Amino acid sequence: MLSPVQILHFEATAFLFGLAAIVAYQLLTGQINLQGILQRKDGTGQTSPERIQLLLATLAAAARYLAAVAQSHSGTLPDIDNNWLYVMGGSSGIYVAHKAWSTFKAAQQLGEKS
Amino acid sequence: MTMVQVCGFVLCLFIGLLGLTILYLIWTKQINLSELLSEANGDASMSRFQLLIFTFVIAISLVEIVASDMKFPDIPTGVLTLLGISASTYAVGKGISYSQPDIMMGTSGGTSDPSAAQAAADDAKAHADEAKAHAASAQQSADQVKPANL
Repeated sequence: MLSPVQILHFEATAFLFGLAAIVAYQLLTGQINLQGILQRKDGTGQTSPERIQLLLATLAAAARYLAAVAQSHSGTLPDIDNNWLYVMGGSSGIYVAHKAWSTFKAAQQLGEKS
Repeated sequence: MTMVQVCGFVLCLFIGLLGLTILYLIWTKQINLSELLSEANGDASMSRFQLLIFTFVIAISLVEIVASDMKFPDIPTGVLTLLGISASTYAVGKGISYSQPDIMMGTSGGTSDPSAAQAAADDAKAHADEAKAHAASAQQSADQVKPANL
């Protein structure tokens, strides 16, 4: 007979994978809005390179960490290599810096118009 | 079976039903996730997407590790730093967006697409004409009713 701990593990795993599956399904079928996720918000509708690099860095870091967890037998969460932290920090920094620059540039143009 | 085991099974049943209910409500759209990644202006947010991915990855990893070792593991500083980077990106991006609400909502300088602007102008003109026709009709009805009241 299953113990309560085993049942709880099964429930937690099923819930998390079920939730991830539903979110992934809704993302792929367009039920969760992804409109404009890779486009600049300055009204030009152009594809944004800094968003693409952030997406790629995010997916790469997530896949790398999941692989490390799958290979880990130590019973602890594996640490993340500093190089990956630099990649994520740099990637996020580029995204935020460009967002700030484009927003304040648009604000400046608005101020000049008015 | 002891009282502790009975309580354990009742707890398992409660948590299982709670999880199933949440998943069912999400699946049937009674819990609406369509705006999960959307900003106030309706566009999807890259930083929200990043936070969503990392949250799932860490949560699934944690459950698997806890199940294999049956104790709550220490969270490495690298993982905390990664989540911190992700959450900070989201928070700073949000701060930048909300510092200029007109630009975020796209109300600052109109649209850069001339055809969209023309369509909006035509739509507004059609609404104005319709309102004018309604006003004329109402005035006519009022004129007809007035002599009867006098």
